[in-house]
Amino acid sequence: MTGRILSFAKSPHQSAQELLPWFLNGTLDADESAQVEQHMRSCAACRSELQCLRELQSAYVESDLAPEAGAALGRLLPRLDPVVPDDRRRASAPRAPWFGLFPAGAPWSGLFPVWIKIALAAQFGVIFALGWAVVQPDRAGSQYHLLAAAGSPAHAAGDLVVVFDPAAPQREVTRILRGAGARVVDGPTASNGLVLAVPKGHLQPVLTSLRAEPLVVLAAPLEAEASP
Amino acid sequence: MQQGQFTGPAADPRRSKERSADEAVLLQRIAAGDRSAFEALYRGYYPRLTRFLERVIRRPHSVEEVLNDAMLVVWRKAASFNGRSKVSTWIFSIAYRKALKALKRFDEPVESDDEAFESTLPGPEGQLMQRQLCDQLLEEIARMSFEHRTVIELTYYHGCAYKEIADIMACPVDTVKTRMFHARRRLRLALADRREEFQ
Repeated sequence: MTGRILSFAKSPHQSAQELLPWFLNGTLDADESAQVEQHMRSCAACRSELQCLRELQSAYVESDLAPEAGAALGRLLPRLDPVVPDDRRRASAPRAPWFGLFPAGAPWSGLFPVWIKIALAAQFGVIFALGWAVVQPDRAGSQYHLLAAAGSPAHAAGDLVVVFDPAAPQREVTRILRGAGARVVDGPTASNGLVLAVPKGHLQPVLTSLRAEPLVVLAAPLEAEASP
Repeated sequence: MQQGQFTGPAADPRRSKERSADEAVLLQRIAAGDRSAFEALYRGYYPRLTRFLERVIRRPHSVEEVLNDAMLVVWRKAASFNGRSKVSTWIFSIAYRKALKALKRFDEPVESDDEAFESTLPGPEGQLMQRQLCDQLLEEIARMSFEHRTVIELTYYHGCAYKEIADIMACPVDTVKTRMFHARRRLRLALADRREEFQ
């Protein structure tokens, strides 16, 4: 298995030694944990090392602090972009790019005669218009990526979004969706969400049913998702 | 989501999974521009990230700046979280990269010269780990490289699995293992020196 520390090239002692810190913090998988335990039964050095690590961890945690977030958060909040994040910003109407080339205060603004500015602006205008015409069909089709963008087709067609655990088997996903009485109308989105439609008046029971499933990471109504 | 209650190594796996699901919901709301969700996530992570950054960059006056830079990325990139890792792994990886960037700005070496620390001494017995030894250990950790401090911190305090640490530090799991091995060897040496002082 890729990414495992246990290796046939290492002795059981070496493997156990390497894994001790994570044996101690309880994050090894069952196989690894069993191998470490088995080795430690016959290895005094590893038992001693584990005790040492335990002391280290307790010493390390003792110096804990629980700082208050308020002041630092207060200094960050004014830096948050007023509308929001990347994807929504990309979804907003594009600005005419050529206008930004000659801002009044820019150091190069006085270098070009007016006619060059007009010609360049016209060129950019034509390029932009052609580019826009080419991009337009894709753009309409790609809006499903923008889960949070109000007014997108996904929002118009669906009632809620569900995100499954990435490890969820397909048959489980199908079972859960059938059991909830929901129909997939779009997705997966960029956030691995599926947009679902439910019979009118059944939104709340479907949400409750989905949220009760351990394999469902998120189930949220699209209306609430869209509100800032 | 519970806020600001993280005070020790990671809790049991089930609780950890529940927390990650709660945080995934917060991220979805943040992606939609929900400031209250961001504040909740910020308050939940502030103690953990403060502790992590204090230990790895060792410059108390820069901790807030690095932390806020990291959380600003969370605000802006929430929609790009794909659910393939835990939310905490994603956020810590952002904080790690910001810390790394800050250290480079401080002109501090990121790699260490651990090969200089050779030890043949056996591991000390737990009974000898008294308060002075604990302090000695913490001082020793503070003298380690950024990479080694990070592995120690994420393992012993934040309860991360080695695979999570590899994700956070964007390196192979074997590198995590090697860094931990060197860090432990160095700590054993420091403990042995201290024990000799007592004798």
